[in-house]
Amino acid sequence: MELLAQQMANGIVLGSIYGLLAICLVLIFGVLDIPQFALGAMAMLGGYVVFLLGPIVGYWVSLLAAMVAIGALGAVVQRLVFAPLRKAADVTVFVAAFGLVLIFQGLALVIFGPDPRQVPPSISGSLVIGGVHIAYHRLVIVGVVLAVFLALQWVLRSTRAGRVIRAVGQSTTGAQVVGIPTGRVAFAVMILGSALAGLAGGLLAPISQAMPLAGDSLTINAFIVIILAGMGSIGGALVAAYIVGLVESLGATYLSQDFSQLYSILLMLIVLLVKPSGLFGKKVSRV
Amino acid sequence: MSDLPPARNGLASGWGPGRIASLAVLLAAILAPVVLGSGYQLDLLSLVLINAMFLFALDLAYGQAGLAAVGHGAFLGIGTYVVGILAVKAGWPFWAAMPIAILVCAAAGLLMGLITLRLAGHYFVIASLALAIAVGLVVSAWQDLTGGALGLGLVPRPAGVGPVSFEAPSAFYWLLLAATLLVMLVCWSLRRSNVGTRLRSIRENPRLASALGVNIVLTRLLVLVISAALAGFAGAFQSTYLGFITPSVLASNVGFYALMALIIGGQRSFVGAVIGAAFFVLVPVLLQFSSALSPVFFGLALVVVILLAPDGVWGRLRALGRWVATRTRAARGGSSARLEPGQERSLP
Amino acid sequence: MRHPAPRGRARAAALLGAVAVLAALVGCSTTGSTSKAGTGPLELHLGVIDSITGSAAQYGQDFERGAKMAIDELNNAKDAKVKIVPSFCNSGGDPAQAVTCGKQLQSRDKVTAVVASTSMEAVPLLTFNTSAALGKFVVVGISQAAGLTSSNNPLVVRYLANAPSYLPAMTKLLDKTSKEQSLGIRKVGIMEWNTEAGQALATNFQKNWEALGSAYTVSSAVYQDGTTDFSPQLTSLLAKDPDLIVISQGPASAAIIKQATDLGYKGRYYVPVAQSPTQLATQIPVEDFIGSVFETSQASLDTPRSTKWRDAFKSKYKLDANANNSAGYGSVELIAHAAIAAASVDAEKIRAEMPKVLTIDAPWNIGGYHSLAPSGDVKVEYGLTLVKSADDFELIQP
Repeated sequence: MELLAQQMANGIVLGSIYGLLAICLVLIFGVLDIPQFALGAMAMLGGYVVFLLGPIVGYWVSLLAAMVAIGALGAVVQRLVFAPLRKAADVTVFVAAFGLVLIFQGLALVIFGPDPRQVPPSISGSLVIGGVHIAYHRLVIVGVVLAVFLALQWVLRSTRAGRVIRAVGQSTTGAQVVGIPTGRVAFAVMILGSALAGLAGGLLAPISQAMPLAGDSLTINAFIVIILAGMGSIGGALVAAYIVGLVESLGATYLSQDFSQLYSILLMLIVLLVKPSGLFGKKVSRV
Repeated sequence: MSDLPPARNGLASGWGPGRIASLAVLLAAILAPVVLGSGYQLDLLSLVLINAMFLFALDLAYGQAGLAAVGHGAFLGIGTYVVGILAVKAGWPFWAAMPIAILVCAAAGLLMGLITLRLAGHYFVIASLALAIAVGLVVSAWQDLTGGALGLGLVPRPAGVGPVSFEAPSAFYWLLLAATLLVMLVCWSLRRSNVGTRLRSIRENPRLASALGVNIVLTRLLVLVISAALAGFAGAFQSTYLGFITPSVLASNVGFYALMALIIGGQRSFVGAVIGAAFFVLVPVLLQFSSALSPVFFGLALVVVILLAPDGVWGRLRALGRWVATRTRAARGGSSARLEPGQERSLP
Repeated sequence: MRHPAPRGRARAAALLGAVAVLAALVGCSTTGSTSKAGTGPLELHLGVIDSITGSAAQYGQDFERGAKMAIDELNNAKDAKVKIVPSFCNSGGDPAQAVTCGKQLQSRDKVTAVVASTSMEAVPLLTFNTSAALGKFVVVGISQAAGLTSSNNPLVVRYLANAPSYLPAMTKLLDKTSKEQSLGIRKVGIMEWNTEAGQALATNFQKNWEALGSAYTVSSAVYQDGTTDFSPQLTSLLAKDPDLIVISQGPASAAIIKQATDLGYKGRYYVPVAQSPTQLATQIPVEDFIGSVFETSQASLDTPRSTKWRDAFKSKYKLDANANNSAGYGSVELIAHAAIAAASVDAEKIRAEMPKVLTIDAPWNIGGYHSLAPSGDVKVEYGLTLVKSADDFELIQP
């Protein structure tokens, strides 16, 4: 029972991190249609920002700095790579994003070396309830991700900016017709999504440590999450992320560990076979 | 480029300059061991050939059938492992193991098609990638059969046929060249067959094709199975080329790099695939000098090439050729010589 | 362009252009070299294949530092008897790339010996390192797995690591220490890194530990390369209440220890040779791993020879030396001294001299690996370092 509770807790934390990255993907992949495969690598860079600045300005300020820095990086990438490729085929953009992964990981390796770098947590120590241990920092992650989700949900539902983003997500051409400057919206959404990736990396760094390949498994899982959820909504993505996190941690306990990554993939395939548009997806994409 | 009639694709019909150039390349490829000796350059060319075979196969799925099969590397890896396992664990000769690799990959392709072909766009891409990752996980976990992360070796070279031995690097290279030409021939005949015609109509207008009675899913499934089988064929050769196999041949990167190579070279053309294979093999070698920075340079090269030539190096070269042709015609007072808008970037 | 250029001709020109580019690419990488020894020092062409990028980058970079140090020392020595001409090639941790590297070194650089940082680089070379037509070369590799030396290749040496060789003695030493100092280690949980090195350590540790008696139990939890959150695996291990958690991936030690501590584990860890206690103490507080045991190679001992070498390493790189540094250093030195003894750069002669020069007292043999068997296996013996308190690291030698 204790084991089950502990693994549920692990799964929710794991799911929160996947969820934050999946939310970035809902914005960038779902709204802008850019298969930004380098988000995990950008999150990894966010971890290094926290590693560098954390000891000087404290964890929370460095986390903010990671968002700003990675958001700025997103702007650069959008201007130099994705905007010029907006008419190219999906797979071409995929490949360009993969090139970015190589660049970011390679630079991190050259600058910081292959050794993992320690990042102290926001709050050290663990909460113990009935034999279940949860590090305070993990609780912080769960809380921050939920807060980000609620804030985004409010922005998308209740503000003009949110309506504009949703319009672009539904149809770029339609949005253009009604006079929305889609290029500028794309730019803003890319910055927002990238900043959130920086946030995810900064939150994860105390657990994973800052290291060049830290973002690899995140990226794949985030893509699995949004396909499982069905592209459309950030709420759906978050729920699917919790499911993937739980499946991964419970599968590792009660089934074979050799395949812990496989369970979420199988789940995704089964869902797609039954419902090709994903768990929460509808025919028309919707934010 | 999607609008070129079949006769203009790859092997040109008639004795035009295209065919002469193709023959010149073929002749150069045949004579390479004589010119280069049996050294390292020949080895790199052998690797280019193995990759080219795989890219021809991938081009059927991606270029012809429009399936962005990011996970296609799995078939190359499965073919590699089937031959490796049969050779190392059961002592099978290459020539017996290779057909099994083809069959296993065809079956895997069928399975993958049944699972993924109903999915559209992004969903297909990620499902294909996820399946490839799943194959990699199973292979590295199934230690008794595959050796797991410890690897599997050593896979011998193919046994000689009659008086011909394939031990010498040049002989092995010629064997690879023959295999590559065979794959090319299969792809070419497929493109010229009525399957090719159906694929073209699907690419151009899926709804119209469907209305005209083309079964889109069945056609794509057929092409996917053939493509997977050919990838398994290439994998069989990769197995004996490498000699030692680890799960890295099934890494999800393999499919990415291959698709990347194809897009960089130029899809729906044999020359493009060969350019892509060469880029993929030779650029990392050329970047060795930069040691730890080489992935950065490779990534940069990739992004820059994609930005400059979103339809591939070969597509760009052809566009350049057309541009030169129209300009000269215009200079001579030719009539309707301008490129249609968007023609340069016509991608499906 | 004055003449009309029909499409076909433009295509032909483009095609020829592509071929020219291809040819130029291949041609660029051509450099001839010969390796005939003149009257001066022996000119030894040495290849170094290591993974300085990718997931095994830490191993490769550590190895390369040691190898470079040996090369510099050998080449700068007064009246040097051997001149090393090194060629480096990065495998990125990919065996397929290692094959390309090996063939490049073999046919372009005419190497007579290659050192390789992991089995991902070493094992693929065995398909062609004995070919007389292409050029024979000795392979000195680091490999935890048995595959490197089980294929009867006459030109291979397995230097560091070698889990099947050292773990029988190591598990006994651990048990002896546990009894003498009442550490009470019986139930062991292994965090198995799903790679060649991790699997070899895990399976050999389990086999030898369980052989000690029925009270000696092992459970293991596997994780994929690249995992960052080990909580699911650690939680399953902790449910079995282990006395010792065996870490099979040195570079991940800090993360695993931190996450296990967060989960309430207060027991001991077993850390592989790639991670020394002083190195780990720079990453996490010593308090987190008090009571833990570390595999310790002779290169980390406080003998005059090892201390001198570690000081030299530190002054060269501003880093504390670890076992992989010493392996890179030692494997290059082994080749060089065998070549000097053979007075030849012939691969077979070098390999034949190796058992004679690899003695435990050789001044360059800082790792203390010795007794090179005909199969190519070097005898590896490690001691244990027991972290008793923040400033008391007790060394226990076999």
